Amino acid sequence: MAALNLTDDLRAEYKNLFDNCRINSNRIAVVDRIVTTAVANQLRYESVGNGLGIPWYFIAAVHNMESSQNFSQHLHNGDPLTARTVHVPPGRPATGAPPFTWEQSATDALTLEGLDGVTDWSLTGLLYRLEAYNGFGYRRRSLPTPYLWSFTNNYVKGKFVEDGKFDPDAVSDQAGAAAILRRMVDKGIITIDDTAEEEPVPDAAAIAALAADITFSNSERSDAAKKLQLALNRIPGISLKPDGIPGNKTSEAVKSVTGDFLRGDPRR
Amino acid sequence: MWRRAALFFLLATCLVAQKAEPLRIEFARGKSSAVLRGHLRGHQEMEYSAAARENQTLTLNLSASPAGGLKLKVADAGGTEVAAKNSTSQRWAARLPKSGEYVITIIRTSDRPQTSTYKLTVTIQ
Repeated sequence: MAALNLTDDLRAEYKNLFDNCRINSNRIAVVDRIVTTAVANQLRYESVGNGLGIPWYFIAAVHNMESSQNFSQHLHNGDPLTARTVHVPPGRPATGAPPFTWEQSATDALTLEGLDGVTDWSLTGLLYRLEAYNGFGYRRRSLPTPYLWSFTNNYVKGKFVEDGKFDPDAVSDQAGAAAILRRMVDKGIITIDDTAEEEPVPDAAAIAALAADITFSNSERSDAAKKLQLALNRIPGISLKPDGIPGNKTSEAVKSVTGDFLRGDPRR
Repeated sequence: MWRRAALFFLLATCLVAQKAEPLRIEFARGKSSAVLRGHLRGHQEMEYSAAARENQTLTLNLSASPAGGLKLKVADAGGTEVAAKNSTSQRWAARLPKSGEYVITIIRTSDRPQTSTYKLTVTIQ
């Protein structure tokens, strides 16, 4: 699956959905409890987010989606901190030894997604990153993702009930991230800038520097390769799946920017 | 009674979102085939993904218990369905038109209430 680029059309879609988002009346009390807990832990979210340039409320929303605000679980997927992750993405954090602190796990999860390099935390940038964190699988079915819109008028049914398994009749029991943010905005707890900030487009030298330590492979996965893919995706016309595998498409994208394939590519 | 209440509390506090992405098929080093097993009920769908090169042949063999009630679909990264050269409900094969990621979906079409258990063998050569 190619990565989904944040186009003007997609920004308009997010803005329209958020502007017209209403929390279902029978779910407001649940959302309020989540918001109260998130605010109570704001400093802890900031202790991770400030160093990475990520707003605390983004981390708070992900924390609720991935581990029901439980600080003894990985931010990647809710697996226990007493071991590396088992579910997607497995084997995280790749370095260090368990048990991990929540801060260690959260930092790993956020950097793994390349979120430490993001500068666009506008409303639409925020919603895009939240959807990307979970995956764009709902779009293949033309459905609004419950990861954002559950408990609001924008969502009815359809849910991934296991990693990779979709059930068209299942209904999410979790408050969507956008529902939580909508409530925070409505209560005056946060304000989210509506103005989209263009992310800096990396130049050839920046891509060459990121590619310098990466060897072409169709099977070996690495965090460095994922960072390269995320950087390449900021360049107009390039759309890679950020899976961390520096294979044919990644190498071709590097060549289109720097003039040369990745080291080890037989086409070099 | 308290056990039921404790279980309810445990379930209520352990809600986590499942990744909305296909499960990536990991081929053992040097192997061109992988065997995947699972189960589906209702009209559930299971998605897997694999990378392949242009002109490689993707072959899928599906067995299910109870027999039938499942179908296979393969699409490229852009969502365009790939037509099989020869296809039955148990077997799907095609030469791939381009290099890239492919999504293999098993769709349960049966209206019978019980769960379907499947075994899918994926071969890329």
